[in-house]
Amino acid sequence: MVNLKVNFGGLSMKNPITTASGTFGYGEEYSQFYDLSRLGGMILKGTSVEPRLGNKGYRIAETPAGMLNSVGLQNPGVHYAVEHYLPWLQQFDVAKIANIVGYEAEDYAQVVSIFDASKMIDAYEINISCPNVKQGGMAHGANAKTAAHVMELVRKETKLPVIVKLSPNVTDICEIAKAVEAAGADGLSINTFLGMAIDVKSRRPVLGNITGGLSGPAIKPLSLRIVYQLAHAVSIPIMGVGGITTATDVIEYLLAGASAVSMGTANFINPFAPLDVIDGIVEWLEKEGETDINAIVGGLKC
Amino acid sequence: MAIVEKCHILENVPLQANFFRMVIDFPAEEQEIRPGQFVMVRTAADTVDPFLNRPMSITNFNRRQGNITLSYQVVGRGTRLMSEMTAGDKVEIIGPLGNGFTLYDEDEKIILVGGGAGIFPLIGLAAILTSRGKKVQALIGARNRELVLCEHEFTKMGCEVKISTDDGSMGFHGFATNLLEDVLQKEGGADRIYCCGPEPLMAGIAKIAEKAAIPSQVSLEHRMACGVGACLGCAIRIKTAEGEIIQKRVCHDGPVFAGSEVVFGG
Ligand SMILES: Cc1cc2nc3c(=O)[nH]c(=O)nc-3n(C[C@H](O)[C@H](O)[C@H](O)COP(=O)(O)OP(=O)(O)OC[C@H]3O[C@@H](n4cnc5c(N)ncnc54)[C@H](O)[C@@H]3O)c2cc1C
Ligand SMILES: Cc1cc2nc3c(=O)[nH]c(=O)nc-3n(C[C@H](O)[C@H](O)[C@H](O)COP(=O)(O)O)c2cc1C
Repeated sequence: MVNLKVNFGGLSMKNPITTASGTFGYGEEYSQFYDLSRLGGMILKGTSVEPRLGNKGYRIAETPAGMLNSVGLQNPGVHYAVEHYLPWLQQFDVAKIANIVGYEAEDYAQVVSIFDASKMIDAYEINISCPNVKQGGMAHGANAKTAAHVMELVRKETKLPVIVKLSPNVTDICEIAKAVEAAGADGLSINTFLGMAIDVKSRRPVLGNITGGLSGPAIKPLSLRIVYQLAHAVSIPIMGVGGITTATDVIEYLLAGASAVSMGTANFINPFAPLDVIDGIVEWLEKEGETDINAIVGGLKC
Repeated sequence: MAIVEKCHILENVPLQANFFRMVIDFPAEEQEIRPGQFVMVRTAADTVDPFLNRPMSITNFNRRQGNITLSYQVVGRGTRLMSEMTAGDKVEIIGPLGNGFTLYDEDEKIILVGGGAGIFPLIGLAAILTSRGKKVQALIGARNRELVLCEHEFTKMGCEVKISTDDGSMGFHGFATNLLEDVLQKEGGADRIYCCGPEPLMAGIAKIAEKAAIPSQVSLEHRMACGVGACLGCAIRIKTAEGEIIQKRVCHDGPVFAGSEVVFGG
């Protein structure tokens, strides 16, 4: 028997596999395929104070080994989520991580305080890196001071673990990582890369929003490099995210320094992908004679 | 309830022009499939090309033999790769997905309007309606006579078929919307209209139906990634009975909607 249990900045999970925000709704859709309790964690859809309609036009563009999305944080608002989704989710023994979005720094704190009061959430992921909204989103994550400011306000509202989802679309991600660590973050994760697709026939952008976030295997080498850099810059744990489809991808992220991972786009290709990956990790550890997944973290030989 | 299934292609044959038909050994006997539902198709088992699964409506299904039929037009790389597959090849299927058409026992006379590849989901619908003894008119719209699809399939099921071509090379000269207006004017109303095709066609049919006070259902298409309602890629705007604008997902809340509730171009 190998141990898959991890402690991610105070958040205990039965295995290091979480599903990525915005790719898994509030869990309902994928619960028709398997028991969500098999996952280590679920990161819920980015949720704001008020409901949001999101962007118009095409929101999805297929790209080589990946996809662009410009959903634009469509969500029903925190009150609706707490009332309609969270009670149902409690039947599953899985870490429930709320993903938080806002226009103003104060909005993040407000959403966290409402989730906290519900006592149905186990941790937070603060999305200061959404590339698909004009106001808020990535703007907060673009510099160390504003990023730390959001984290400070959120810290006052909760004792639960807080993961800050950083934008990779910056000059020096490590500087921002250190600033949010100092402001009280318990962990880090990474968002999508800003990208674009053009339809030459119409000479128009494919996405209604013109640009969107690139996800899927296409970004794995980029995110992997960032995890490696972050692991050397901070001492809080890192959630590896970007292009994971197989157990080998997860092992790569763990070796680079991630303590847990998120899988997003892979769910769209195969709803069972997270479970296949969990099985694959066990197989790999057994083959390597390892007994504890935590022993792999940061084990890269350079 | 949708399942994720590795399936085999039983048959993959050209229909006409760039249209093909694929029969897959999907366990239809265990699934509750309704006409208008669709599946997500993955042709690339172990590669990332094409990356996303392709939505395809279920043309028809055979519960006894345990198979489903997909009919498709080659429009890009994904559908071209589909057309190059042969019997025995593997495909991954997620489905059946979406809500499908809603049928009403009290309906007697029904009009189906299909444009281009939009005719396909109406085949399974016509099969059920005719088996229940309904009077079904199938209006098939196409650009020209070479692209008129499935005429004989509808005739064989006992539907009355009317054809419109944009260039007048076959049947009524004009769009399927013009043909519907003509039919309604000459033959009077119908109890319900079901439509699938390009968006301008569905928008036009929904408007004509509303004016004639005939309830209509349209089957929408949209770019989608997951097909199960999670990614919110295929959101469209819907006008509720109270006049409020809300969002629904084509994959999960549709693909079939009441013609009167869809905000076309919204
Ligand atoms: C619910 C539903 C049912 C459908 N049923 C049928 C059917 O029975 N027969 C048929 O021929 N076609 C059907 N379509 C359209 C079909 O999905 C597209 O033609 C197909 O995805 C094109 O893929 P491609 O790689 O050949 O084209 P490309 O243009 O290269 O595809 C690029 C991307 O755009 C997406 N895309 C392109 N056109 C469409 C479209 N019209 N709708 C949705 N996504 C699109 C593709 O899925 C892919 O992600 C249906 C679409 C939906 C949403
Ligand atoms: C359709 C879609 C919607 C997303 N929505 C959110 C979101 O609401 N909040 C967020 O922090 N990240 C969001 N993301 C980013 C993912 O959580 C994840 O960081 C990204 O997809 C990279 O992982 P992947 O390559 O495994 O998909 C979204 C991604 C996709 C594809």
